[in-house]
Amino acid sequence: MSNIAAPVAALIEEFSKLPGVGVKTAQRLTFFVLRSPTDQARRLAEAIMRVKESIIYCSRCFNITETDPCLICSNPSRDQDIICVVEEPLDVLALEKTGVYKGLYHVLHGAISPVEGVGPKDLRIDELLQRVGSGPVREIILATNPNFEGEYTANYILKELKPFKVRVTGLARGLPNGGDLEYADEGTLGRALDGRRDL
Amino acid sequence: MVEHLLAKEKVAGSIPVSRSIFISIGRRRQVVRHGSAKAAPAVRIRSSPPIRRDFTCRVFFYLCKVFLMRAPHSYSTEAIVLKRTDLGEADRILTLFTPGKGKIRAIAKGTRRPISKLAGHVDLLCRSQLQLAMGRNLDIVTQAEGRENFQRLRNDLWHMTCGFYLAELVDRFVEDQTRHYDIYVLLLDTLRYLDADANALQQQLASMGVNMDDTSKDAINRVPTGQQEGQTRLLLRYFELRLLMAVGYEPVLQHCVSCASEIRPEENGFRASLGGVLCPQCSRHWERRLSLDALKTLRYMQRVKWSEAARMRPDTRLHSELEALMYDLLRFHLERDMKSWSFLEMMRKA
Repeated sequence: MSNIAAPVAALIEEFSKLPGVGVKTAQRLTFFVLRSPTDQARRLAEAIMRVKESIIYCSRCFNITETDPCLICSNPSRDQDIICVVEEPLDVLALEKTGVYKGLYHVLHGAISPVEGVGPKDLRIDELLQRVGSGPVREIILATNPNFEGEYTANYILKELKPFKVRVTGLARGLPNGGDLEYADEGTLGRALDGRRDL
Repeated sequence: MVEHLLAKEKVAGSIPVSRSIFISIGRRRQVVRHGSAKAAPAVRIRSSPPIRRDFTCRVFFYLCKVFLMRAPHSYSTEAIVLKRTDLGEADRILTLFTPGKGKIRAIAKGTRRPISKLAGHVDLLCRSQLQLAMGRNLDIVTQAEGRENFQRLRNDLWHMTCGFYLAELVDRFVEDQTRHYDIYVLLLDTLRYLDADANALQQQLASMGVNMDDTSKDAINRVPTGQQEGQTRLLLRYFELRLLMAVGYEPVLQHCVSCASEIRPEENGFRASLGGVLCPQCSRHWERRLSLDALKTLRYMQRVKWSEAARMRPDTRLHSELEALMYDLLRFHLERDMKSWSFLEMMRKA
């Protein structure tokens, strides 16, 4: 890359550090930026810098936010007594898109995984316990992912929440929209049967 | 049609010898098989007698089958999922433990999407029947059907941690693409025992009058910790010992690893780096003491099946001694600590 101008080579190198971006893709992205209008390139650079400089973690729910507390935590119309525990900030977005849930969140930033060496101390579990201990909380909804690590995390939190005498619930498990009954695994199908409803 | 075939056969001259033979044989068989009226002259045109030519065809077909045909593109295997790592947007790399191929890694595409047909069947510690397509680097899971998902094990934190530990042990000790049918059976049996133990715990709770309908997880966590563990601590030691035996690191328990004298029924010593028991005369090599009870327990577990070993009821002190000794051995062979150890410790203290 010695024949390429130094700024171009530097940008290619930076792009190639992004996940899933190889050298060839990095070159294409660099030349796209090079050919694009100056305004567009500046907006991209500013957006990247704004993310790094202005985004912080909410001190209550640990979701990513620009203001502390975040917009959800500071919204008085939301039910302050219910906390939904999720693994990642993107899970908050997914739940918000449903428009059904009107309570608060708590983002753990991962799930316990002994195989990966991620323990409870690496997550925001202690902060959740402090939050439950300090404020009036009516219900905790454990909305971790429905896989082995997610269930393990939910079980661990459940155990830790025992002394607080608070109602703990989990999301219902069942069949997804657009799915096929014949491809459902026995665990999902069993739980779907357990949670059947009168129509 | 015959003229057409003959014209084509001339063209086949430009094709490499083996392939042109293959083409011509294929055509001849095709003509004869269809039994068309015009097919007969095509056979008669050839110079060699029909019987001899038929024999030649068969030989060439056989040779072509052996040397020219490509290996199958996909295969079916049973597997237990040991590890899962996210890949790209919605894919996962699975570390699978199979009875025939040993430990392999494969890509399960789209398994992080809610409507994935594979996701439920390739969760951690699931035993599934998989169809895999052979890829350039990693194979790709194309179909999956769950056989056992050890659902009862998943309801209890301690048993889940044990499951994690088993998966980590196998993942660390077994080399890729090396067949270990005995370890596969050992892992499967141990998972079944764990599942049965978790079930027994639930039954115990039911008999204590705890309502299991809607708060099963919560109820299980209300049981005192000692009772939750049951025989699982001994089961883990049994698994560790059997795993070491299967991969060739069986500890020597019959005679002293330093002076080779027979071990007498008294307190002896143990050193992981020497791979076994040390007699009192070689006490300068001792790394830790080995009580007579611990020695007997280890020797018994070396000999018998788990169904017999499970009858033993070691006390807490013996449990701790066996655990420390096995951890020493595992640490020496792996040259590092297991990640799950801290979790097992944490669960026991909780």
